[in-house]
Amino acid sequence: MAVKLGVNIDHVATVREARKTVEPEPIAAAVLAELGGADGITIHLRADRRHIKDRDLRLLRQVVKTKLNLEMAATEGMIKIALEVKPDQVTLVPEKPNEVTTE
Amino acid sequence: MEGNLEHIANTVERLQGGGITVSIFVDPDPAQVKAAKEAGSDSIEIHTGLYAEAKTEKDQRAEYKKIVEAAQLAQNLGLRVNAGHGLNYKNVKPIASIPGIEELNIGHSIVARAVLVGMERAVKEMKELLK
Repeated sequence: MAVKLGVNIDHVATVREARKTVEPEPIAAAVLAELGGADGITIHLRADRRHIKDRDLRLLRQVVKTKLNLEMAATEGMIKIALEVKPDQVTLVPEKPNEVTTE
Repeated sequence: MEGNLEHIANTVERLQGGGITVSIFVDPDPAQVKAAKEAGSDSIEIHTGLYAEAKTEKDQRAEYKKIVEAAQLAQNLGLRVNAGHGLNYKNVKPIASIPGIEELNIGHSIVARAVLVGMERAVKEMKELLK
């Protein structure tokens, strides 16, 4: 069986945050990724909210029809958000303030 | 993950209690794979960054071997296996062919291509490489 593809859309939000504006819209990117055949959508909600925001997570939970994978640090605040929003999967990742990554 | 296994195990249990599948991002290192199992995780995601960033073929082969072995170990332990970080249209095929890896998470290279050709096409092109 072919390996599945989870598309991480963090950097769509990175472009948006470059101007602190409302475009490009990560939710639209997720829909288009699914139309292109993505088996899942991955986002990393970071403590500093440098790209993906809480509203993105909540909207994606309603919109993503494949599988929503939330990457997050194992902090109390993030655990509470995950238990409330209920992504299909949480991937626990270490988080350092200066790392440059989407993962 | 070493040193705070108890905290991670507790986190895994709480998330699973909420009906959420849990994966843990690990280096292709047997100790980290075993720790993820001990923490009760459903899956691991193997960090492919060193493979992706290797400067020589020899280094890349060595990193690839670590990923293959970590995937095998995880399967033997009953963990589901995903992988990601630094994967792109040029380096993804060998990783996609590793037995037992179910899912790849790819961000930067797809979004970078999407800027030029659109998200839908960028994803389609990556999916073609995974067939």
